[in-house]
Amino acid sequence: MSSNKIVLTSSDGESHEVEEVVARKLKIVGPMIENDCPDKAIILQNVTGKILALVIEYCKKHVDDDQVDASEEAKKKLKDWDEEFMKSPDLETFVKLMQASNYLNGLLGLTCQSVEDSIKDKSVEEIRESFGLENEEEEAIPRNTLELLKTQDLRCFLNPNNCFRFFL
Amino acid sequence: MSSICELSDDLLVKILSLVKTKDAVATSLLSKRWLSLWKLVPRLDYVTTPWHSSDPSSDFINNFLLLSEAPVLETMHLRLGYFCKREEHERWVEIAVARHVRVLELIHSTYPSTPMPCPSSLFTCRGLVVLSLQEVMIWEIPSTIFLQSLKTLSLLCVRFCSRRDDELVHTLLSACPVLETLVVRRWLEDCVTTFNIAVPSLQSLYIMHRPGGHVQTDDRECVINAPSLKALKVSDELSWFRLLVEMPKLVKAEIKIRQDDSKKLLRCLASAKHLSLCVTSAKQLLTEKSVENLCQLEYLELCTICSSDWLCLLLKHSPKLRVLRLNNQTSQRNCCGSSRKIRVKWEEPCCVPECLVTSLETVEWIGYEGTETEKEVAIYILEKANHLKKMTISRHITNLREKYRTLIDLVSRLSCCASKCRLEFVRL
Repeated sequence: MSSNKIVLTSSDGESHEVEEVVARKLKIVGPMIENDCPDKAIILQNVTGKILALVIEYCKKHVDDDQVDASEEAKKKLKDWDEEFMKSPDLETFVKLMQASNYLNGLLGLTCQSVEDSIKDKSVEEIRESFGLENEEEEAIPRNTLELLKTQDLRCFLNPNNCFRFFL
Repeated sequence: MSSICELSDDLLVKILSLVKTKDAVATSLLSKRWLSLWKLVPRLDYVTTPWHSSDPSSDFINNFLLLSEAPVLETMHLRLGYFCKREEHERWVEIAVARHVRVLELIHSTYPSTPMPCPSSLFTCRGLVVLSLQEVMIWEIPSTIFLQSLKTLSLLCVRFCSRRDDELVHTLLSACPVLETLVVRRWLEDCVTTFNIAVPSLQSLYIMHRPGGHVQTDDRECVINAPSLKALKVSDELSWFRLLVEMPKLVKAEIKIRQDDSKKLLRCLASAKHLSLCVTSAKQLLTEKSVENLCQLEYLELCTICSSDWLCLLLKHSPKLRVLRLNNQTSQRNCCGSSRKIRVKWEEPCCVPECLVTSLETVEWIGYEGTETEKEVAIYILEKANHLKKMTISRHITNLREKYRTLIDLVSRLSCCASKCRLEFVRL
């Protein structure tokens, strides 16, 4: 049972053979194994080969997560690895990775956490930059709406620093 | 050009649920897409800045609740101070309950403490799973109370005002049929003499130490009747403490209390694998019989200031013991309140305790002072413990010479030849 190999195939035909326990870290895979014949390859429609490779790398690293006995050192090393893993992709890959993690239902905690880190305590400009919104003219809020936001009760929410730097 | 905005609304809301509400609302400035996303976040948290001259908490919370479009408000964390008005507070809780809140935290912090009256709408919140109250006053509990989903309850410095003694605590706890975790912090003004904790479903109990520097002991009591308990931690040395029933599922117990009936106490704790004891009480009579059921013990921590008399007996009756920790700390905030000042009186046991022969692997001695008795104990263990891998001695020293003298004192008196054990010294 433990050395069962599963084949995961991406939308563009790339195949990866992994151990069942690694594949099961993606919650979408479990029911697929149970319902389809376990010998058939599992095709993941919404994930490209490049992204699938990254996801599998994460799953392999975290396959022993459920073991409680991990030492403090081991936990820290894993955390550092996670950080590096999240930092390395460019914005486009990162967005695709996030969509994949949502579809596959795995590593979602980590991806959401890293976006959270780019929002927490950052100014609006910094967030726009990390989200890739700088050049999106049509996405910008019209001036009058901004003025409205300024005067509305929302002012009590917004950090004055955020508001003023944005309007300048 | 790719951006985070390509992600689905669901995913973005999931992310916004992780950040503080203030930051989530600020994202409305990012772009058109983000203008109203924050309104779908089912979570409100607000921490007041106590030094703020004009407290914006009312506006913030009122506006959030007004503008929020989330179908359900799952979590509400409010940390409030002086300026919180009773009527507003009550309204906020009512709104949260009406919007199916599952995790509710009402933390008040004022000096001098003026507890905020607890809205009674709280007690009929059926979907509530986690409730945390601090500096809140419970006047009355409606008879329709039924917290059927409550699993975690935290009562920190809560005042229970009732006409009949102590009934409110009982009413509250018996209305939680699936309660698993309870955290209690008593204080001088809780108006409860006997804090009765009778919860059959309880798995984890933590009774925190009293706030402030109170050293006055009193006649108040904590009585525990929780047969399903797995973890117990008590750090309240000012009230009396009583266990009523045995707890066969108990795995870990950390006890720092005043206690009358040590025999009953140990009998109830018999299933524990991990035990930490600091029991200051007038009578310390401990017989073989009261300790004989403690055979599951693998980790033992003992306060040598008050409970050292028990060392011999406990070693004898814990055949599976792997780790022994002797705590002689006098300089910490949570140090033992015992006034007995009895040091370890050591009599070599007539036959070597089984745990020394077969299982003891680690010994830690914190606050070692180098007295004759302590040396005798240390040497006895070093000589007799066949499987001992490491003994760590932590001591206050002012220079390195004292360190070496401590180690040499012990090593030179070891009669047998080099043991496989490592003797380590850590400076306190």
